[in-house]
Amino acid sequence: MEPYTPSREKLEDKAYFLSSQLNSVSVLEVRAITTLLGIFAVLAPWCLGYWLIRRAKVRCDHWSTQLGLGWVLGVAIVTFSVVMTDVLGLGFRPFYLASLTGLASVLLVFVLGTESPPGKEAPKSTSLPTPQWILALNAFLLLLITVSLASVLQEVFQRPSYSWDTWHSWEPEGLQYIRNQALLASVQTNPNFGVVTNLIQVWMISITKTPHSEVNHLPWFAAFIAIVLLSFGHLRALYGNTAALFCCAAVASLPLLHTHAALAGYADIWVTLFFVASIAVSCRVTLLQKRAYLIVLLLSLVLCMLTKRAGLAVALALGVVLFGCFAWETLAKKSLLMLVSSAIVISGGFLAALLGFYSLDWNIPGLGQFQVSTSGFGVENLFYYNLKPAPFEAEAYFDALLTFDNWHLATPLFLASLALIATQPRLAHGERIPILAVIATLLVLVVYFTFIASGSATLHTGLDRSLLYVMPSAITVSTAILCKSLIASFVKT
Amino acid sequence: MKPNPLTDREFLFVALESCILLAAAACLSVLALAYYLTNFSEDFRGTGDTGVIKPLLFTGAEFRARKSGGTLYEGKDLVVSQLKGGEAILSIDTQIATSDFQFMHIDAEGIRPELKTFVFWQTMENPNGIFYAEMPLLENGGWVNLRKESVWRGTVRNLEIGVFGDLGGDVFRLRELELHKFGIGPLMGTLLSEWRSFSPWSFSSINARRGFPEGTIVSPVVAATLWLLIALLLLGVATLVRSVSVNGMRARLFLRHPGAVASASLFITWLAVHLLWLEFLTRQSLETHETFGGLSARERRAADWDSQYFLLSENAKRSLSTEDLPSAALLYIHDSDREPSPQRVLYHLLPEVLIESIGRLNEERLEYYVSRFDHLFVLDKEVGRNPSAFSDWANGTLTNTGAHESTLRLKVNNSVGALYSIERETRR
Repeated sequence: MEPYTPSREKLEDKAYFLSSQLNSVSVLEVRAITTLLGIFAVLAPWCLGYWLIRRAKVRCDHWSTQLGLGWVLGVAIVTFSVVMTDVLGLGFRPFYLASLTGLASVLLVFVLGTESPPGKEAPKSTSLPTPQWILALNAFLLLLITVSLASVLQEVFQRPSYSWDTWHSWEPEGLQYIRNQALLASVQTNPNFGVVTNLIQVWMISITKTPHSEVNHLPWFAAFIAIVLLSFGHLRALYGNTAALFCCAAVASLPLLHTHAALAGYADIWVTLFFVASIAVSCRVTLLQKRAYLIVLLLSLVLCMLTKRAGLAVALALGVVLFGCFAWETLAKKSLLMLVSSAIVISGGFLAALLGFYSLDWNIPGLGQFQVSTSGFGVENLFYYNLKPAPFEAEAYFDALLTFDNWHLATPLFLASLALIATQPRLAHGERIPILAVIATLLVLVVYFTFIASGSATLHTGLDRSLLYVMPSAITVSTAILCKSLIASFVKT
Repeated sequence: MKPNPLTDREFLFVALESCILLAAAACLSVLALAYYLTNFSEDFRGTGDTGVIKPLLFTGAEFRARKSGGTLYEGKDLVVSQLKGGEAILSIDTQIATSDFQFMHIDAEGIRPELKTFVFWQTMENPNGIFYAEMPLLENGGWVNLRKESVWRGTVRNLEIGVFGDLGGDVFRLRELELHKFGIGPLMGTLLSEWRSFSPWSFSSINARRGFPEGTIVSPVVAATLWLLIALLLLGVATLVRSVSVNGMRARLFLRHPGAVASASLFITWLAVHLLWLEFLTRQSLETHETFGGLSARERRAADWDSQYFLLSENAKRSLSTEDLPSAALLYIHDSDREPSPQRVLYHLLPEVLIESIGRLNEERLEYYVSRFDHLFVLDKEVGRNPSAFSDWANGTLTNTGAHESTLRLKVNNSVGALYSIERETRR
């Protein structure tokens, strides 16, 4: 491929100064056009993703789950289109982006399949009949959710790019992609290797033609809605509308989630979305019997890894849990024993290298050296973590989980659900995965903030944002467990 | 097996029971907190034993304006209509034993995020020292925990209210200031003032939401958790008692669905914490709307916190619009300007203009920047105000150095900096 040479001509859209060029059009009209284009840029891939999920005939899903997963697929399509446009050297023109979006959709039609093979049906909903008080409660919960969403949306539409890393790191990189009409940034502004955020930004700017418009932050708001929808869908399938609305209202009420949607531009809300989507896909059905689900799960995990460095760790933790759970459910005892033994040997070997019994230094073709030693571990050209062990900062965790108002009462709720689990003889498939995923991710965070980013836990910069990944799922699974106990108590009475 | 649903009547009972339970739990929680504070907390230990002390009330009219742009008395209120140099100081001479009072209530009007309000005091023991506490940001004043800063000590001889910032076309009206000793009422008032205190989005908002100012008596989340736990404990006890006396009419009516009562209690406590957040969000929405509402995209960016840097970037983009993908270097002179202004300018200029290098300007590095780039941004207020002085200095410095004769020519400037283009002429 020819080396890319930027030129003014390639910036075909002189409409970067849309308002100054269209003198005859009023400011209000320009804003309306930009807003409409922004809404279209979000809705088009979202609808496409929703249609693909529906087409795959994942019958057991509620529309809310399908919509939530639809946005994940939409983001995957957007990512693919922008990357392919770059690979082909076409420049980020709407026509090429649209064509490649179409191509991605056609590919997904074939990959996802159209029929659900015979397998286990989703568990039947055990929703309560609906007397009037339930209708009133549902209406109240809906009102709460609407107020939350409306307040956040108002902020998205009015506030120019605000949060620090957004204009300091992420967006300057994306704007350079637009300047060069290629995924090239000659001035490094973003120390994180994540790309999803920038690719979404490039997509939005290419459609709206305004690089600094607030409307370009709409995908972050869409991610917030998708998280809420997936939480609703999860509970709706198990315990009906009221439980789902309660869970949905609880997730939609989380202050830090609001902040990340309202002061858009950071990558954390995307990691949260992919985490929630992965769990939503994997915990309700036996995954291997549904190809469409498997594909969506893999896409979610890959996108999670590509979003930011922390997403890589989250996706790995999630991957290990999911693989372990499916192995536990599907493998024969002998194979399972072999798998567990292999896992113990591999992790033991890794730990021994970290403790200094020996060091590992392998060459991975295309990536570089994979190194594990007492000083750290990582892959040369991808990531490397230096080990700096420090004491466990209990107060910082206490503040982040229980004192600060990031999660309202999610932590006590999660702890209560863990206590309830302890009283139950056996966990269902749909409970085991999210609980283990949340716990495994929390463990990874503790390890990270104790051995790698030691000291930064007390600053609350990374710790709270990392907890954002798991809190919606923690609320969802806690609500499910509480509902189960509540229904059991109703049956008794 | 399908559970039996609650009828509407049963639901009303459940809601009522959880409200009663939470009310009882709230009373117990407040009593427990008051007991803890007066017995174990360093700030309030022993304050409950000082006997009955009446609140001490000062009306606004008792204050005099020590510094202001304009004040007047309206009935018992003191009204500040204009600030002087962005501040107004309202003062009263008095004699107060600080050990008698732990909380202060200020009834005022016109407090807004752009207008900080402080209470200052001087003591007999330390006449040269000035101590202060910040008022919570609530529209009509609020409660202050005077023990928060550990400086409410000795005998106060002078109290002052300081108003700083921008009145925003409104007035600041001081109705009254009241001092209270430790008690349940003042404690509750202070807790609510602290939890409801508003501070607009800051750059660290993306990292955490504290939900309370530093030094607050107790966090709202911890308080709500304790409240819920006590309610559940009461519910457990009540259920146990009920199971013992199953024959009575009362036992048949009450607590038939303890699980539902527990869930309702959880919902109500969650809602209580969420309402605090919604109040913040609503005030923030109003703030945002006041700042950016009804403006065009350009005006919104010009109304942001770095408006001058944005305007400089906009003018620079227009000035360089005829060039093909222009790039530039950006220099700052003082280390204090290293962040965030240069990065902010880089962001505003993209994608049309790219800042390829950001660095500190000194005599030795000038030649390097001039030889490498076609345009130079210099971010400095002095340079912005007097750009020709800088270009004279730079041109003088460059005359004797380098392989090229380079001259800096001013393109645009404003109060925060200037953009120069570099004209080169090869030496013969």
